[in-house]
Amino acid sequence: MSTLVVFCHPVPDSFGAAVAAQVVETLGAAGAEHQLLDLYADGFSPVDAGASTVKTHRETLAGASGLVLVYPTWWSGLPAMLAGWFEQVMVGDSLPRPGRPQTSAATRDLLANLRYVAAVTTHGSSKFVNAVQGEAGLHFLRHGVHPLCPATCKMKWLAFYNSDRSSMADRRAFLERVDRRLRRLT
Amino acid sequence: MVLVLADDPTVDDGGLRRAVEAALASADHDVDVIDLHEGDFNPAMTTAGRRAYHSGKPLVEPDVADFGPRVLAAEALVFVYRATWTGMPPLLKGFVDRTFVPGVGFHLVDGKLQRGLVGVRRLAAVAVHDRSRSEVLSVRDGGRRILLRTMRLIVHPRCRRRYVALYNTRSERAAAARRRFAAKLDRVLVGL
Repeated sequence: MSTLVVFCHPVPDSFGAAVAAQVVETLGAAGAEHQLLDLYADGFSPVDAGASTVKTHRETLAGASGLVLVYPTWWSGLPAMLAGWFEQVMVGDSLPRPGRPQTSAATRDLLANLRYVAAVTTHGSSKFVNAVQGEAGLHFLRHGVHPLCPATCKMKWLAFYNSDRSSMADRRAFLERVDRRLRRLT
Repeated sequence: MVLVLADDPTVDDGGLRRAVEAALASADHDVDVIDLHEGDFNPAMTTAGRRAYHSGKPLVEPDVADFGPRVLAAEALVFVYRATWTGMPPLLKGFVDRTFVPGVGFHLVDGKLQRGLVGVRRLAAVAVHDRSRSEVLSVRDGGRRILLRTMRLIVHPRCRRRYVALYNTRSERAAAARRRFAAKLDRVLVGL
């Protein structure tokens, strides 16, 4: 069983990429098997990824014991690219509806082996501004995705706020925090 | 008024587009339509676009170049979409990501956010949901959250916000709900 790291950032030399590199390094150091999915580098299409790509991603996800999402929060939610990944890979023929088990069965099957789901995300603005904005990304993960995971699956939210005004020291401190928290999860 | 269409023409959405067109026909608005299914709009923020994000001239790609001036000229923004699992369709999220960039949606002055769309005094989201209202509320309606709440920080401080939603499109009582939806749509779009 391995951990699937889904990385979504258009710029390869961004801080987001450094965060993804840290996640991969931590997982490696902890001896956890892992696989990195770089949506931009792979040229994934958020609207029409093609049946074979979706099938491969579904197989990887179904065999994963952990899911780590690394992305920038834009307009309080997921970037369109990552939203497109969720829509195409995780949603089957019908929208998952928690009250109707048959509609979410396909999605539950994909998430059946997960022991944890973690999001490592950067925000341009402060925690306060994000709270005012409604934190759509956090709510989607907590109320949309996590309830479809096995009952024992943990969820971890690791956020870097104020990235627009951050110093090198802040960023290094965040990478260390990601390292510590992720080690605890694996 | 700028009307952003992100409905899905390939599925039955209860005649969403027709309802919007009918409501607008009875209103006297100067409508600028952005149909995201037309042309080759790419919803994913591009590497070049992201690199130019803080450069002062962020709309470098041809598919978004004219969106900036169009939303800046608007007094009202209306978003029409069919809700998905993540909230709004990735196509519409891509429009938000790529259009409301620094210099258009907001300005960053010493790292602080300043409103960019101060001319926008009306925001409306028109959404069609497959799920019931309680199910949508239980997953915290991501589309509504972003379009009407997150956006609040960049439009005019006294901007009026309206949400017109049709829930449970698959239910057998959908006909009555559709009539109420069309009536509310009419009221909201005419009164914008």
